[in-house]
Amino acid sequence: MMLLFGILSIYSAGYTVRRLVFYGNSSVLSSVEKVGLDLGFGAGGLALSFFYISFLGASLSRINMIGLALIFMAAVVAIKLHDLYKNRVKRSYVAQEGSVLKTGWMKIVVVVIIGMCVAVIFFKSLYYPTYEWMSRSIFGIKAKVLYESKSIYGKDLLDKEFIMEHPEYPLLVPMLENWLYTCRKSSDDRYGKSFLPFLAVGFLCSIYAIQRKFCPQLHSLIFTALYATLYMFVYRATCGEADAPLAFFYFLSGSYILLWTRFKIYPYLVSASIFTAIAMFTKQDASAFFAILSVCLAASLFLDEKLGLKKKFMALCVYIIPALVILIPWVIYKKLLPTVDVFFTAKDIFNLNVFDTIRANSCRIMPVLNNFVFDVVLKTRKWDLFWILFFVIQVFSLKELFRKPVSYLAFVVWATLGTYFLMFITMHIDPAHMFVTMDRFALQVSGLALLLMSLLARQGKRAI
Amino acid sequence: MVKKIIIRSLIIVSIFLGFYRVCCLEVLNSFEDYFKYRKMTVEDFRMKLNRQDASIINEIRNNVQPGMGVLVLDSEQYFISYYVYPVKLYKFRKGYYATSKKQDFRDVENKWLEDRNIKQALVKDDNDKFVLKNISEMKR
Repeated sequence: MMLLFGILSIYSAGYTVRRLVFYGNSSVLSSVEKVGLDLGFGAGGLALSFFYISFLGASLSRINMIGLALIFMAAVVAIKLHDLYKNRVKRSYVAQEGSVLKTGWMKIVVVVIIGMCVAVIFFKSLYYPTYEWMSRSIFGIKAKVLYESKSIYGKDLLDKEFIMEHPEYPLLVPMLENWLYTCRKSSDDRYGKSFLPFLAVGFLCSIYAIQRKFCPQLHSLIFTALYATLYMFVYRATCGEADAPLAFFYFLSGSYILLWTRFKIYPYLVSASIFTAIAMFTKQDASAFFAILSVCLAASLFLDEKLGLKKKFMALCVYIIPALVILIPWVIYKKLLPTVDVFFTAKDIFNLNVFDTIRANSCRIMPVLNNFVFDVVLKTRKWDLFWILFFVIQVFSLKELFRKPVSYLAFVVWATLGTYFLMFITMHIDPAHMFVTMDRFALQVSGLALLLMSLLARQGKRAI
Repeated sequence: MVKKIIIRSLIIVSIFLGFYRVCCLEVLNSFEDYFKYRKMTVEDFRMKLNRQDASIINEIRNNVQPGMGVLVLDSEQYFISYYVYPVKLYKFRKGYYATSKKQDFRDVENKWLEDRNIKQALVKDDNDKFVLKNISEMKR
């Protein structure tokens, strides 16, 4: 019962944040899109709220955490009452189109396939304990420390030897696991990661809803099914690591910037900014994503002839500033955390002379490419034909690739893949580690890669 | 037209492969695990899968004084992990690579053990059960 309360409070937090962000603009969202946004905003909003109260010195005790969750639930009730009073519940054409599923045997088959994959995600998440080493050593152990110490200043969290795998990693997953432990009054890691299948559902809903802005229903459903049946997605979405949530938040950040470039509705840009901040609070790889998305947005604004200079500057500020403000407490707190020697830090990146390092490490280029091709692209056991399809569709649609808004998406996806490539070449990552991480990095960008494929597959029919 | 057929075929094959892998193989494997371990407790199940080992924690609770540390070693006396009571899980960095790069606890300096107040070790015997031993006797 308390576990359901925990999950419901994630949804309530998301609902509240979404209503605030889309105040007066909620008609642009379809029902499915709202589910995705609520779960995304909720996971990030609730985890950040817990982090903020602990950052300010309050204990992460059961009473404090439940009190905070009740505030979000009360906010939902207040918003609903406000809606009833003002009678503001309106539905636009877009919203109705997105929410109503017109029947047809093909659509039913695809929905059943997606539904079965979601059922497997729930089953694996709730049935297995935290079986993946990384999910225990990086996130699970921190959640247990938070549960025991009730504070982000617990000495074990700041102990390099105790949190030996990435002590500097952000706390979104541990915070949410701790929240569910607190709800159940026990640190059983199976229930701790029970929020993950809900994030997976949110991810799939968002993938479908964003596609629906550009593509017909069956097309969107088929590409959503393509993602839902990815073994790597199902595996990572259930094991307790941060890669699947990060893929979700990065997808939302990238796609809402795409929607802003298309529809010029500012809540889209604010959403993208918030999701980028949440992504950076999920895993530190997202700092690179923030840089990539900022550059892509700036380039897209630069090429936009319709917007004035003032509006271009404002758009860039609307994306960058909220993300930075949300993360100020985390940046301050992070200075207390120890770093590990074997991996690089942000400081190293700025100190690095990239071109000299690439020249010096040129012998790594072929192993990195080999690894990507043989362990990701051609690994049908893990990725099915996803990455093969990714390359084939782009080769077949080279002309469309340079048309707006697909060009923006292509730039984001290729810049992300290029960043990984550079990182593997320039940083001191041993080949064994590269072998383990390549799949996870590929997953992080796979949502946007899927959207790119979907739009390219549709663009020939002039849907955009 | 050819392009369209190729793309559609790839999508259909990909969904079919993924569906088979996720909804058939994975579920069957999970059920197989379930029936294999159905008589075991959750703690045993975890132990079998080399997960967080609650049975070790019970051993420690029963045998180790508060504030004392204990090593957890496999039957060949390689590190699995170490604990300090009350239950705080520590995982020895090298322990992670136990399958490929095992670390013999006898190579560890005595000072490292003294700093953590570790005087005992839980060692797996031939029957896969943990037995508590004094490190001073094992180091000899």
